[in-house]
Amino acid sequence: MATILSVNGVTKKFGELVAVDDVSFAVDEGEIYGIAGPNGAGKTTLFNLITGIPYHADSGAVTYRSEEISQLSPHKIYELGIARTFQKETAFDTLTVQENVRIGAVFGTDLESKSYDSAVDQALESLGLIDDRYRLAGELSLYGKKRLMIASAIVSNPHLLMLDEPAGGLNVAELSELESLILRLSGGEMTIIIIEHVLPLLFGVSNRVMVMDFGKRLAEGSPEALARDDTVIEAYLGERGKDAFHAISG
Amino acid sequence: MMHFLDAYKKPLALVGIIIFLAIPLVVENKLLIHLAILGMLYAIVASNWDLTLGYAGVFNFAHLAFFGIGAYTSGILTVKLGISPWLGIPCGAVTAALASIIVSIPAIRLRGIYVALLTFACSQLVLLLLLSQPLITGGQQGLTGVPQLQIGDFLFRESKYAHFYLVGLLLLCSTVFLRRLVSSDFGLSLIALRDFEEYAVARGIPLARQRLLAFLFSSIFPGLAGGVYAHFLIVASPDIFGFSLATLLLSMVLVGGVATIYGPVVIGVVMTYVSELMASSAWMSDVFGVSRGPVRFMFVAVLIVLTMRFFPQGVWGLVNQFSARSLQAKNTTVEDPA
Repeated sequence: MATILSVNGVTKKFGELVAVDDVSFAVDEGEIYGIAGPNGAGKTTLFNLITGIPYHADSGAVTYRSEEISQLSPHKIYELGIARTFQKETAFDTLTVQENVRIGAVFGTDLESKSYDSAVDQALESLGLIDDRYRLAGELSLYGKKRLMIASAIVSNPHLLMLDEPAGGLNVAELSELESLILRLSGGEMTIIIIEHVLPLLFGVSNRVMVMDFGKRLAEGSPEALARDDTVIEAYLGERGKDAFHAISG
Repeated sequence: MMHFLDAYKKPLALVGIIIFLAIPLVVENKLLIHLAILGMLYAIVASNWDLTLGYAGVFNFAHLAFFGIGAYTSGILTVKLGISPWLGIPCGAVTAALASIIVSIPAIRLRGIYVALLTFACSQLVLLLLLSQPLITGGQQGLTGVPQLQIGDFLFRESKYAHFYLVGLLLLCSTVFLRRLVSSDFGLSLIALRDFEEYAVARGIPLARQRLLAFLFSSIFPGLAGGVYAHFLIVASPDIFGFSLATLLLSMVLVGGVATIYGPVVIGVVMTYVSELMASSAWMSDVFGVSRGPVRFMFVAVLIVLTMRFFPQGVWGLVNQFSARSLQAKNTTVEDPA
């Protein structure tokens, strides 16, 4: 399968802190690629480096469909077909739900102007927001805003969708709905990279997962293999936690 | 959100136009007509300032410079080169537009106070440039002898109606232009960039281009208004660049309501009357024990502070809130007669 995104030796420093340290990975067309790791592991910084928001990498290369995008402006990266969501539920609160999604359709896409409305309605419909389209985005619940962020990302039919902790703060029913949604989106031609702390969700939807810790790539493999990987368990639970985990799981 | 004013936009506009057309027919006092013309010119500048300040969220303090550049361009072209004012006025808009591009290039990537400092410095630079060329610009005294507007033998200053209707038409065109702009996808992009810049660029909005266009679009009508101003007062004065006028115009935007367009238009006219009448009446200066000039600017400053403290959404924001509530109450009554 062809590679859609290739990240090679990407590094980002903030003063003395190395937030992302020589990280490399590649994502294939059509797959769901998960990124896991404890808080402060550098996952969101890695997303920021790929999308150029709000900074670029100090060194290394990001290649999207054979095109080097490491130093491109964020809106140019969106034009190429990479859309992302943010860790914190984010919306243009003073605009309506419909206007929020319309922005994703109008700018940086090859949609014709006469098809904006139908594209927006379709995105709202698929995220269950069509009845809320005239409400102000600021009035939505946390889950509503998370769905709105995804709707405004998928309205442009991106080739690569990057979801940053979409499950944070959701209840069990919402998590189940989100899992179905991610699988449904992936069923099309969309490639998905997902950062998530809710490991059952991440491992349930991903074809492969990379685990990061202290800005470095710790491990990569299938969810089943990583669930048994000592370095991954230690990164999450510490050395004592790892021993306890083995004692419990036998 | 649907407002009462949106629901009755057409009849309200029609009533407004009829009242506007009737004003010079029923008002005999020439001072009141003169102030209405000044007020409408200031309203054009204030409402266009609202595009960058209110919608784009850019603290641009070069706006009055666009007005001044329009006035001086048309003034110099007509006085020194003898071209027609009707050609000088659009030339003023072109130079104001060019100036807006020059100012916006360094300003669009800056934020907050840095934009304010840079644009204010640009404005003062234009003033100093004008003062440094007294043979062309008239220096501190201003450019005098600017020809008045005329069509054939018809002189605008000799008519009570001509300037009033001309400036009214300019204000109408400016307001329609601005409202269409802010209601378009371009307006959405400005609001998005203002509210959440990182999210906006992540949705494909080109920050630099949109902000440059906001500067450009907001400079055209102030440039035209500046030209008309010079021919109306038959002088282009460096006072245009002064801090007093800038504060007065800023108060029109803030008290009128940022990101509304209509607010600065309405309050622009009202504030001009209030300010000028305060300058010409003795009782307030008697009460406060200071000369008439400072009293009105003290009043403007206090009004800005009170607005920011007690109703930051401005007068038009309050009108919108009230009309939204009225419409909501009306809809509830219709849906549930019980």
